[in-house]
Amino acid sequence: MMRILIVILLFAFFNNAIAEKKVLKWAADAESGAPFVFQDPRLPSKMIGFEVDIIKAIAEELGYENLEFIQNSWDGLIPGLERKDYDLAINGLEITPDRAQVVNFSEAYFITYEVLAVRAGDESIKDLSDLIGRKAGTLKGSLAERILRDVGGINVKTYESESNSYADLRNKRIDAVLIDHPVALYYASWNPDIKILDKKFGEVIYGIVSHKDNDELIKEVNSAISKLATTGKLREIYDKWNIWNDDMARHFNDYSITKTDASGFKSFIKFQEREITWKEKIERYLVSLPDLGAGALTTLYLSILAMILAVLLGLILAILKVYGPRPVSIISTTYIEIVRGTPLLIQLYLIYYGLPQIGINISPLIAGVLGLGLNYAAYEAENYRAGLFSVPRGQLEAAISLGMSRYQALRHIIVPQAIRLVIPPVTNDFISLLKDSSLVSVITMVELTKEYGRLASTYYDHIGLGLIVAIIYLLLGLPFVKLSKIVENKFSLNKKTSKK
Amino acid sequence: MVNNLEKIIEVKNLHKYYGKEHILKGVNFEVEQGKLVSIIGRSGCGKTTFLRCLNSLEILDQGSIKIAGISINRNEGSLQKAQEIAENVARIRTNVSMPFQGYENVPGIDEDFQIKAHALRSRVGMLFQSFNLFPHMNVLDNVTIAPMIVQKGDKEEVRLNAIRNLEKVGMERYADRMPYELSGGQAQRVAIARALTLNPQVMLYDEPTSALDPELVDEVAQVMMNLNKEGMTQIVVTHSMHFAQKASDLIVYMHEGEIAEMGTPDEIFFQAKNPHTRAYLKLFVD
Repeated sequence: MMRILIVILLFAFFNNAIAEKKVLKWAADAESGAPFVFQDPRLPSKMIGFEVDIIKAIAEELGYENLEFIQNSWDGLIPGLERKDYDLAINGLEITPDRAQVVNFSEAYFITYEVLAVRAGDESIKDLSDLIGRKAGTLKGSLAERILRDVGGINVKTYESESNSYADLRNKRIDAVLIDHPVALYYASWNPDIKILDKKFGEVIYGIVSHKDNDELIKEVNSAISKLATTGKLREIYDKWNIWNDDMARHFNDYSITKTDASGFKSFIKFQEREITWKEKIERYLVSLPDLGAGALTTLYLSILAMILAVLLGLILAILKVYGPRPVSIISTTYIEIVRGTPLLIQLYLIYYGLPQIGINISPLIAGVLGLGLNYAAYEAENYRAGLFSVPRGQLEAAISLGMSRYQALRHIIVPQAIRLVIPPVTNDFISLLKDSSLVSVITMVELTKEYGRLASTYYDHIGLGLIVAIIYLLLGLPFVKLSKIVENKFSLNKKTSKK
Repeated sequence: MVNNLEKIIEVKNLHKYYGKEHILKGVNFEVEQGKLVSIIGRSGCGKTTFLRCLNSLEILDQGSIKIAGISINRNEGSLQKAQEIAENVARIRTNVSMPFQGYENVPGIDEDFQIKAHALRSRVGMLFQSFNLFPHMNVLDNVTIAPMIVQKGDKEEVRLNAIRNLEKVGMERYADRMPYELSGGQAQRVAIARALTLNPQVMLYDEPTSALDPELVDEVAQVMMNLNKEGMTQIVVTHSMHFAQKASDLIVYMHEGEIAEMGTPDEIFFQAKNPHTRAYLKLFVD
């Protein structure tokens, strides 16, 4: 079993380190939604959005043969760049002094502002000052959040996804949403329940980012952007997505009238606006299934590899803790307590983003397997410990009296009896690991929950897709529950009735 | 061939501490090959500890044990020093069933010592009150596992030897039964067969019949008496005066960590010199 694990891990490792051609690797979080980078509602495996068009145009301009998209959580985009998981990240990354310290920013490719959305028919809100003493929502960590907080006296609620903030607005949980103009345009402007005020707040300038050391690439990107601006290609993209504005006109010195049809915008709105029938809804789900299936497969093999690691390491930890000499026992106990007592999310961050800083660079899959496996090993160790303790001590004494070494006694007598006792709790933990595996989305892996987030933000449908994903998780776990029952029966000592 | 009169067990000045408690206070004991010796005494007198020291399930703190041709001994200079070491070991010991756990830094308990203790266990069989059959293996596997993995014996040879030993205890028809299918007496007989498979020179029994229903005691006692006839040296810690009187060649009475008296059953039961022995035996007179 150990050998298979090593082979799989090595394969994953080398698979990740295949020699590069002239490929531009770029990253974004498709969950951030329209019109930036999102999955085509008609064909969810296809990534679309104005940032996709821009990066394509830049790659073409710079002569790259291929583009490779790397999904990462938005929070992880800059750490991932530091790890050199990809060359560029483009995903509504605002140019701020803090960020400029750690990464290289290109010239601005997009300038926008915040707009305020209120419920249709609510005349009481005309400006930010009208929100004092009331509740306003926005995206977590955005410029809009800072603007709202600077006003003072506004009860600010922050959201992970824009759809949820607008849903809360419609449901009267909040009174207004301050958000980037493109987001409001795509997620609220077509909704009859929501009104978007004309007033502009603040200024947001987005740049493309590269690794701090990669000055050359960012220079090339800059020249490509100005070239695209001159040739009108850039303007074409912005018009297609209907997000050209006065600030952009000033920045790129282009005051000409719109020539390109806003096909991207119209197509998106058309998809959102109309009432969709059950039949269409089901068709959507069917279209989503291959992507959800791929996500489920990632979840499954990640979980299985992690669990194999957890079960093996957990056994070793438990044996060292229970039977090892005192110093070893203390080390094992300390490991278990530290790992159990700290959040898995932080452990994943440390493994994936922390290790490269001391020169250890591992692929997302290995980091995910290590993170989950090392974490769950602590829990499995405690399961085994309970199992080892429930084997009567006379068993060990009998084995040793028969001339077995400590190792032989553990291997042939104690552990087989303990394992039979820990099958139910270990199965339980596997089911729990299956669900916890969704945390690996912070280290660029797209598994079931991340795929769900991307699709849900594309389709604006958290409930239907949520149910489907819940069922997929259930189905993933069930075979293992069944398997554990079979194994448990096989190991059971009382399967035959006593013949006394 | 070993001379019948040669001492197969020689214990000199054996001391054992559990933490601060002085359990064995200088036990001297020797026995010739082929004898069946019963050790009797009140609870807590140290008779079980003594037995466990004989096969190194407990590590002696001071003194020497020679058994089945292997000598192990410790000399810590003084009893006080021996007790200090024992206290220290007890403090860092997390698992009492692992014989050498806690002794990692004790001078003298080196690899050589451990190898000897280990070799000794293969020459000395040990039986327990609760049988301790391995519940996840059938009777035959219980009997063959140790020779298979410890002595790396030939599979068929080990199996035949195991069957012979099962025959000896009258359990050959139960070879493919699981331990939970056996009565207590049957389980203890299998445990005896299991210990015999390593061809030990000495068999130690820790209250082999006290967990048994009265009607099952005799079948185990009979096996032990048969072994006695074959010339097996056997040391039996027991609370059964009936067994001690009927089956033993010699009886040892232990009192507060020392051997108070040793003699034939007649000597102990009818002419005990030690007042403690007499007081103890009085308890069994109806």
